[in-house]
Amino acid sequence: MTALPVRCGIGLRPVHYRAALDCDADGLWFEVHPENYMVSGGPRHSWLEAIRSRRAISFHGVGASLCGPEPLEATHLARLRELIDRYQPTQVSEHVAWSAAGGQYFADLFPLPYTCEAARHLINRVDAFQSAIGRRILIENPSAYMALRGDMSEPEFLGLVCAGAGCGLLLDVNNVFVAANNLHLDAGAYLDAAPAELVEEIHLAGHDRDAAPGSLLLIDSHATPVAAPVWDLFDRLVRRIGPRPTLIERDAAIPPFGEMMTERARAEDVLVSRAKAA
Amino acid sequence: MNLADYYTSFIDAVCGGVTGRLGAFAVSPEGLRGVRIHRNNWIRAMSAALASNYPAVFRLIGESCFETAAAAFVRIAPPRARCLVGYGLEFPEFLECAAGESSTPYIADVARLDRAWLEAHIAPDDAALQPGDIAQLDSSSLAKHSVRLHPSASLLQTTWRVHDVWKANRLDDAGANVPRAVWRERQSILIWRSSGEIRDRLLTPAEAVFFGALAGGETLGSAAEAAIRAAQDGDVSVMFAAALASNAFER
Repeated sequence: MTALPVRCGIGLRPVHYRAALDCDADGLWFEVHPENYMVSGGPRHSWLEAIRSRRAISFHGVGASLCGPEPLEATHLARLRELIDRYQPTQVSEHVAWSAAGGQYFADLFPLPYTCEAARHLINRVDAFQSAIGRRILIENPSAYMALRGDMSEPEFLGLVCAGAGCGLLLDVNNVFVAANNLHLDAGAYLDAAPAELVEEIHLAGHDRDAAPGSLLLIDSHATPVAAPVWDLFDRLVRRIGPRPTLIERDAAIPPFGEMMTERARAEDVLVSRAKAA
Repeated sequence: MNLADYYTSFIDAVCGGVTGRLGAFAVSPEGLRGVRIHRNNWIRAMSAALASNYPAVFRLIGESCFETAAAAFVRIAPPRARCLVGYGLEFPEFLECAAGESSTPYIADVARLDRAWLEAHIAPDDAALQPGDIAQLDSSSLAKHSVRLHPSASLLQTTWRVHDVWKANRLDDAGANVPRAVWRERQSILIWRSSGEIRDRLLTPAEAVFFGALAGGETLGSAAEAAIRAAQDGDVSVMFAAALASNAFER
């Protein structure tokens, strides 16, 4: 399986199907949430097949509940495997989070305490997940809204899990910024500590301020353009580790495709300039 | 302090608002403020999934009312599957119970039409019956032939006159198009997918009987007889040909 282009991709949304298919930009690739394609048939499969025939795609799962308390859900794994066989995504990734308990799916990314017990648990789960879908995956650092007691920092935890499970890291720079703001950490120091050799993809997205009166929390909403400090952190990261396949995500308040391409151009500038500098 | 306790404490906090036990896992009491964010994210994700599956309902009752309904619904019928595209099978029934005294008593009918649209959208890509498939049958064989509606098709009978209201509120760029009055009047509507497009058709009384009979497994002949008995003005051959041409039957 070839790797994703070391270029900027865009999270594919149904409203952009036509524009995405017609776009002839060099090096463009797309990422999808495979859960949105776990349906029997219909136009969304037709669109994805058409786009896959022209572009590399990545599956970015949101529903595996990788860090969850219950066994990985067999139906979900089977459907994901079917989609992987059908579309042959270049990359598969999931979140360091849990989203299901008691058989109920919450569709939010719940946090995990970074303890040794949690690291062992996640290593076993990633191992089982990779075996079930027949692919090595990347795991993504989460946003954070609450500081939990643990035995290690997040970069240490992620490095341990990647080493133990043989997976790679998807580094979401916006999540680092949001978590650092909410937990009073230093986002720059976090990125400087992230294990460069494990980072195989970068995510960029927008966030919002928590609307509650007096709250200083940031919310990982994916409903706004990438914020200025996140662009700065992206540049800092790429300067240190070199360019990586990078994705612009937008999951709400979705703008016209052209605006997504404008943001992409900015990321491309960083990737290309750092590639030349290397 | 172990992981199993953490999971149950977290769910108690997010779903039940009971944060006491989770405190042992947080660095400081301030950290528990994040529980509110996760609770909001959870309810909003459920509401967004339902709004995506029931867009005309969303436009008709408005964001605030919809989110209230969604928050109540998720407690009764939480999703099990990790794919939310089909979430909310019971939502029309839930709205039926909740809408009795509201200003939109017809909303459950609108929800059923939204649901039928969704089912048509995600149905298997089974082949549709083509005129050539039955061209070789003589009229006597044709009358004894059974045809089934395409797997993407739903045949609905509403209690309220909602077809126009529903259509006006399905459009992606529509603002809320709330009618002044919707009265009780049964409508029969067929919704199906043809060449990737979702179609809908408000049926005449004869068509309703005809398609209802076919959906019930009757032969073309007996379905046609039933349609003619129900409404003398129906031209069965025309309605069959039109439905055939628009891929409404299963091959």
